[in-house]
Amino acid sequence: MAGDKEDERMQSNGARAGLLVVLAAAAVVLFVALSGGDDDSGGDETTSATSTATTATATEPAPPPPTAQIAIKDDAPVGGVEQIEVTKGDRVVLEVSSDAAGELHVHGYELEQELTPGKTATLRFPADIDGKFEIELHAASGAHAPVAELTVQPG
Amino acid sequence: VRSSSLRRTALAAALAAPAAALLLPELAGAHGLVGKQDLPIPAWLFAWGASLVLIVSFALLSVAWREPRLQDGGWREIGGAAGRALLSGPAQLFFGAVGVALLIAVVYTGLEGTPDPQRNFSLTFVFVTFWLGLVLLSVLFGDVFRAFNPWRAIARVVSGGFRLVAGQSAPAPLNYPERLGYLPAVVGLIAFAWFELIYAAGGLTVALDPHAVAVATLIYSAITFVCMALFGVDRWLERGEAFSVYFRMFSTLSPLEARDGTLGRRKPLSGTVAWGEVPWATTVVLTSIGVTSYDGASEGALSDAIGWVFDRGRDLGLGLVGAARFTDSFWLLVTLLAVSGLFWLGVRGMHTVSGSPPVRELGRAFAGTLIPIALAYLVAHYFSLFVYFEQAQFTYLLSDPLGDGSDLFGTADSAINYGVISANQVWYVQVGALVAGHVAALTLAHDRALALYDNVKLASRSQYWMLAVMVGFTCLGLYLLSEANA
Repeated sequence: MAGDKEDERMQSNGARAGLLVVLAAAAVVLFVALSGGDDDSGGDETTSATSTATTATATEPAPPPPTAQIAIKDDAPVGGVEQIEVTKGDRVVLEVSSDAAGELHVHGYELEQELTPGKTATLRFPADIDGKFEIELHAASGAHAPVAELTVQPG
Repeated sequence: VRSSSLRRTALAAALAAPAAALLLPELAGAHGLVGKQDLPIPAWLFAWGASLVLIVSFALLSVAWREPRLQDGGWREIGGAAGRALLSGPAQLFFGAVGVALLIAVVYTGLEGTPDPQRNFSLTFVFVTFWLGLVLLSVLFGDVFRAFNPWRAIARVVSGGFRLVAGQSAPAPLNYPERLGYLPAVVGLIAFAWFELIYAAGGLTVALDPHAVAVATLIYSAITFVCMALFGVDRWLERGEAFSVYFRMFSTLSPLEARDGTLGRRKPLSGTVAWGEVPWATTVVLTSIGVTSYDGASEGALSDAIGWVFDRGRDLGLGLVGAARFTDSFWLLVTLLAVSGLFWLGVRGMHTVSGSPPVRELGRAFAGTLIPIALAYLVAHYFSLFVYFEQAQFTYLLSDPLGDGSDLFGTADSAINYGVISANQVWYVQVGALVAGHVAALTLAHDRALALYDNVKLASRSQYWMLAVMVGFTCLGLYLLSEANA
């Protein structure tokens, strides 16, 4: 019986050592696989999600073009809810035109911008908080509608 | 709580744009609580987190102890006179009064205050300070909700009054059926989650409505009083009252525990061992994990699937709100079943090890080992939201609880500073919480197995199954974080 126990212990020690090896291998494989995937798909995602204007602000020093231009018609953004992606520290410049009076609200940053029909309003602010924020229209009719989503990646 | 506004965006995008524009005005009265969403954890951190989970798992197995160490908590008294004073009658009366005052505040502000969810005391208090904050307090200080429980406080005063007048305690008219266990609490927790995430958030409407919160609070209070009267105050609070059971579950992680009016300390985590002794205890833990998983998944991992079912609901002729609620309820149910399925699959596997008790008993024996994972899920999912909204709770919501422009403490003008934690800090806390919860859960499961099985070999063999379950839960948690708001 005592021999059995001893045997068991040896076996389980052997099994543990084996497990450790398997683990290390699994961890390495997983890590390589996942970080490899990061390079491929991650790269694609950023290029597709980043609007061309954003890239321009990052690279060209000269007069900064608007980060995004938003046109609002019938209380909804023309062309759907735009994804705006910037990096923390960037300057965000939004040019917003609307066919009706209302107010633009940038959540999280708690910025508000009056909208007058027929005029293009420009909203400038530094992207100093990272995270994902909704930009919403508070229309004069009382409607609240999302017009864009601002993603600020950490620098 | 989450910002449903982004979900609304997703759902609205699924609709034809003109239709959405026509319908949104009447539906979207208010916007969600959250001004900022967490960014998804980046792929490299996902990879590191998952690798770390595997490494610590096997490292734990290799250093594993051979005799159970946590099964006896070694409770001993601490705190002396101060501890006894905290648990004395007058102190309990005071804590109870605080609880009752807060209950009244929730109902009053909900009914009388502004409908703006961000400016009304009741919403942030119920869904953030109470629902999340008490979990934190329970983990740190033990079962504090017992002291603050307003329903218990009122019932004790009433039954004390009865004793004074009648000279004897009123007997409970019904015997609580032992087989029911925590089942009423499970139903209550799912109802709460449904109300918070589905009814109140209602897909398109985002109508987290303070008035509805006040009414729901009154209804739940009435149910609680009736059940306490039927089954006895202590019996109902032990088994049926959802919040008592839920917060007590998290308090089993605490090193502090009061026994018979005496404050004491025990080995960390050891309180979880007894958790599974009551029928349906497993389901309480799995419900907590499932509800958090659903909330996380609906922000990313499930958003396409949700959109698909939403469209089918619309095809069936459901209205926008109806289709949104139907869809969300469907996926909540699927998530709860999937989370339970993962656990019970592991238990079935474990059952193949010789000397195992019957499956149901075996599952209950390991119920407590999942509590650290339930906590890790909560931290990972709600940490940032809690940090933001407690700023509101203790500044402008305190000074202006009704949102009517009053300024009781001079803090009515402050705002939430969303920059107080950076995206990187949020990520590290999220992944750190999941890994720490995983280690705690594995530690508990290994210890439990040593107590349950005849020898170390069988115990270790059973734990390969639990290891798979735990790795599954932790990686699911990481995956949900990597997909949320992506």
